[in-house]
Amino acid sequence: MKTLEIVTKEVVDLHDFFTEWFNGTVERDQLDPQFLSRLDKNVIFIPPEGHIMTGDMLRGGFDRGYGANKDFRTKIRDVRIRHEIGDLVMAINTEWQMGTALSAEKNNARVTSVVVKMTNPVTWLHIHETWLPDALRDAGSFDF
Amino acid sequence: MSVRKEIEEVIHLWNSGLDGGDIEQMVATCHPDVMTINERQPVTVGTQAIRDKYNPRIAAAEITSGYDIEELQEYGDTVIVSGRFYGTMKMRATGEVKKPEGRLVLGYKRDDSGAWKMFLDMDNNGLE
Repeated sequence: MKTLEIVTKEVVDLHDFFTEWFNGTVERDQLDPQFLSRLDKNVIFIPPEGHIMTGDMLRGGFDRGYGANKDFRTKIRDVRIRHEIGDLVMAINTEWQMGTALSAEKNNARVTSVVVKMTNPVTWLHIHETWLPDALRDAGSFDF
Repeated sequence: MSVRKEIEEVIHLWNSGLDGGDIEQMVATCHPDVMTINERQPVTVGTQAIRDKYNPRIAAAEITSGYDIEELQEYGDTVIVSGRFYGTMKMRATGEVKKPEGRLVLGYKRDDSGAWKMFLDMDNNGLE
């Protein structure tokens, strides 16, 4: 597979897992093998609200969120590779969410930048999200 | 010199260029395909987009700017820093002083000369 295909599959598969996790439709022992084991030990995650989260903070948040939101849905779109530096890749995508419990807007849309190492499986180094322009969000489809 | 110090210096070059109205000093710290992802703004690519974004701000205000690194991730010739931006904009037309601040992530990679060039500028405005 080409880099774009690998990264796209990784991002989509991971977010499908997130949906199942927050819906409570995947076994609880899958958090490590399907998600946390993919994270670099120094991973940084920044959600649209701007907080800096470490891997341990992510683990805590996911532990607390298991099965807590049956209505949560997410759709990944627009995956693009922007920079390839050795075995590192910087990519962006948009993420569309419905039924979100923790954001002020139940239906929202964000743009995400990710920096990953192209190991097998992919290793996540940095994830950063910020809100898409309101006009783009309003023009988008929430039919998933 | 440590990588952290090198990155602090290149960020200072950007900020002093912004404060001094020298857009080319700012652009000189960027990768040609620098990507700017600002909250609720269209994504842009390239240094001309940097000029298009900052020239009107420089014309409209006296600016002071700062950035504190909170996390630095180093992967060989690639560095990602996460921190806080802050500053003031004194509007020339009205005298109003704005105080923008928020989360800012910057990505840098070395070019062929060894200089750090910014390839990513992404922010969240105002922490909740």
